[in-house]
Amino acid sequence: MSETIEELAEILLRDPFDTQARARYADALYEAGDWQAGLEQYRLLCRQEPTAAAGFLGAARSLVKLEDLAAARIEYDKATDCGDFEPQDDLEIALKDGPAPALRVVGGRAVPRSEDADIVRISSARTTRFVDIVGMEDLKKTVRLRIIDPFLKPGLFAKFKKRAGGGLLLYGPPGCGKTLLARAIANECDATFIHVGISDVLSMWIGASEQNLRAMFDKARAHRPSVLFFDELDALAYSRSKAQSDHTRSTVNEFLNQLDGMAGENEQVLILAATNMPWDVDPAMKRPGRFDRSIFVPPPDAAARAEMFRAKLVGVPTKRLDYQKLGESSAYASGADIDGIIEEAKDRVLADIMEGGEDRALTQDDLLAAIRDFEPSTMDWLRTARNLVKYGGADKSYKDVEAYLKTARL
Amino acid sequence: MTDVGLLRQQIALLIERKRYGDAGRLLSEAISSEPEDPGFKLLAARLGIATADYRSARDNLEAALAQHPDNAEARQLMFELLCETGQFVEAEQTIIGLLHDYPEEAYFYALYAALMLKTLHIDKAAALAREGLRLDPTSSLSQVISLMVDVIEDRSHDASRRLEELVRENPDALHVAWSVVLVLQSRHRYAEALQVLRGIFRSVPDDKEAVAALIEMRVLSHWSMLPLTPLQRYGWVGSGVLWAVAVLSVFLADRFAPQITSSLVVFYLGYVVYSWLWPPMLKRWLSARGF
Repeated sequence: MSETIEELAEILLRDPFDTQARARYADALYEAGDWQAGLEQYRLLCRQEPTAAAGFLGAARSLVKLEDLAAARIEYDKATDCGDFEPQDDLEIALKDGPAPALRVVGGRAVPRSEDADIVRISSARTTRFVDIVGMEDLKKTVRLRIIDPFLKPGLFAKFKKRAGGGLLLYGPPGCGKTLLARAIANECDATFIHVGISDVLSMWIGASEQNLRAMFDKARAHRPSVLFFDELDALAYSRSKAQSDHTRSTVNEFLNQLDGMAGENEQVLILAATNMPWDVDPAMKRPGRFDRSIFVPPPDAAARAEMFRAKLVGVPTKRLDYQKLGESSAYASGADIDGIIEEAKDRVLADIMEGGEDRALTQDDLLAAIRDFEPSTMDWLRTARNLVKYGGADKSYKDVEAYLKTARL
Repeated sequence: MTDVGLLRQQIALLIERKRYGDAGRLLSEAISSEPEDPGFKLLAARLGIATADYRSARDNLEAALAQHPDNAEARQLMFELLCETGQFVEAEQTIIGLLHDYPEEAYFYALYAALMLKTLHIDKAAALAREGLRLDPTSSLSQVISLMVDVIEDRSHDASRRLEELVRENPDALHVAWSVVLVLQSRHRYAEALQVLRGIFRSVPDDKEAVAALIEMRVLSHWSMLPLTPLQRYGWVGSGVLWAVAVLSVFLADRFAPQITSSLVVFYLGYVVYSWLWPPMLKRWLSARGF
C-alpha cells in the first residue's frame, strides 16, 4: 500500500518521531520532484537517526538534483560513516565529476573499486583541520609535535635520527572524535587519506582478507605521503590470545607483517588507528615500529561541550541559553551524547506543544532537564579504564588515561 | 564455500570479536530466510551464551538438538551453557555422553577436566587432563589444566606467574582460570589467587565480576589482614575458639595475675573491633586508592 504525500504528512503531524513515515515522506517528495522539501525532510531524518545512512543518502540525492554537488558529497561522506552504509553507484557516478571532496576515502571492500575513483587529493577548503575541531587543545599540540611535524619535516627529524611515518593508535571512549581527529591529522599532513572502516573490515573477513590488507598498504605506499586509517582496530587486530579462530591469527599476522614493512617500505606512510577497546587489540600491534605511539582521546572538556551545544543548536529556535552552564553541566558527555541531549530536549518541547501548549522555543531548563536524565555513554568506558589503571598492576599502557582520571577526579 | 557458509563464518567472527549487535542483526536476517538451518541456531546459541542471554541460548540449542540429537557441536554448546548456569550435574551427564560417542576426542576430556576443576575435584581433573594429553599432546586446554593443577598442588616453581601469563595468552586458559582462583581461595592461598585474578582482569577489564573479585582478593592478601588469619581460615569455629581462649585467659589472669587483666580485656576488645571494622575499611581504601 503506497500512501500519498498528504497521508504521510498527516501521519507525521500525529507522530513527528515516526522515522519510517518521515523516510517515506521524504522519498515521496523526492519522487514527486520537490527536492527542496525532500531535502528538508531527509535532514530532519538525519537528526532523528544520526547513525542511519538512509537520511544522508537521501539528502545527497536531493542535493545532486539541486545541483549542489559539493554539499551532496559532504552528505555522502557522512553516510559512509554510518554502520549500515552501502556504496551507491548512482551517487558515486554523479559525484565523481563534482568538486574535489573534503577527504579521500578508500574502502577495502571485497570487490575493490577502481583505484583512482577511491583516491582524491586533499585540496578542498571544506577539509577538516585542527582549527575545525572544538577543544582538545593539549591533544592537538601533542599530535602536532609528535606526529605532524616529523611527517612534514622529515629532513629535520632525520638529523636527529627520528623517522616520519609509523603507527599511531588513538584510543578512548566512543563518540569523542577519534575519527575526526584522524581526518584532521591527514589534512594537516597534506597527505592522502585512506579510511578503512568497520564495514570494510567486516567484508574483508570473508575470503581474501590478507590480500585485501596487503592491497590497502600497497595503495598507501603508492600514494605517499599518505595516511592509512584503520577505524575500530580491535575488530581487525583482535587479540590472538582471545581468539579461537585461525582466521583471526592469520589476519593479525599479515597486519604485523605489513606494519613491519617487510613487504615494502612504509616511509612517508602514517598509519593511524582508532579503537574504543585498546585492551582487545593484539599486544604485538603495540610493539616498537608498529603502533608504538598511542594517544588517549578523552571526552570533550566543558568549553568544548559548550561550543558543541552552540554549534549544534544553530537554526533551532532557542531562548536565552547559557552555553557555558550547559557545558559545565554535561560532564563526560561525548559529541554523540550532546546530540542525544539536544534531541531529548527537542522532544520535550514538541511534546509540550503537541499537548496543547503554545509554540515555544527550546529553553535552558529543557536542556538541563535532558542532561539530568542522561547517562554519558563514556562512563562505562571511563569506569573500565579507571579499574584497569587502579587495579591492573604495573601496566603503564594507560598513563594518559591515568592523568586524565586524576584531573577529572574519577 | 557457499553463501550460507560464508554468512555463518562471518557471524562466528563477529561473535568472536564481540560485535554482538552486528552478529545479532545478521543472525536475525539469516534465521528469517533460513529458519530451519541448524548452523544459525547454534550461532544464536553461541551469541546467547556470550551475551548471558541463557534462555535464548537454551531455546536455540533445544531446537537444534530436536532436529539433530547427535550433533556434537550442539551438545558441546549445551555443556558450556550448563556450566555457565551452574547446572554441573547435567553438564557432567552431557560431557560423559559426548565422551561415550567420541572416546578419542582429547578436547572433550579437557572440557570434562575443566568441569571437575570447577567443582573442586582436583584429582579427577588432573587424571582427565592427563588422558587428554595422552590422546593429543598438543591439546592446549589439557596443557592449561595440567598447569593449573600444578599451581593448585604447589608442584611447579613460579607456577602462578606462569599461569597469569597463560591466562593472558591463551583463550582456553581464561575460561577455566576462575576455577583455579576458587580453589586457591578455598586453600587460603590468596596471594597466588590474586596473581591469577590479575591475569584474568587484564584480559577482560570490562568484567565487573573480575573487578569485584580482584578487590576482594587484594583485601584478603593484604599484610594487615594477617592478625585475622584464624578467623579467615577457620571461620565460625576459629571465632568460637578465640572467644573461649579470651574468656579463659581473662579468667586465669584475673585469678593469678590481676594486674594484666584489664590489658588483656582491652587487647581482646581491640581485636574484636579490628576484626569487625578493619576489613570493610581496608576494602574501601584499596578500592579508592587502587593497588
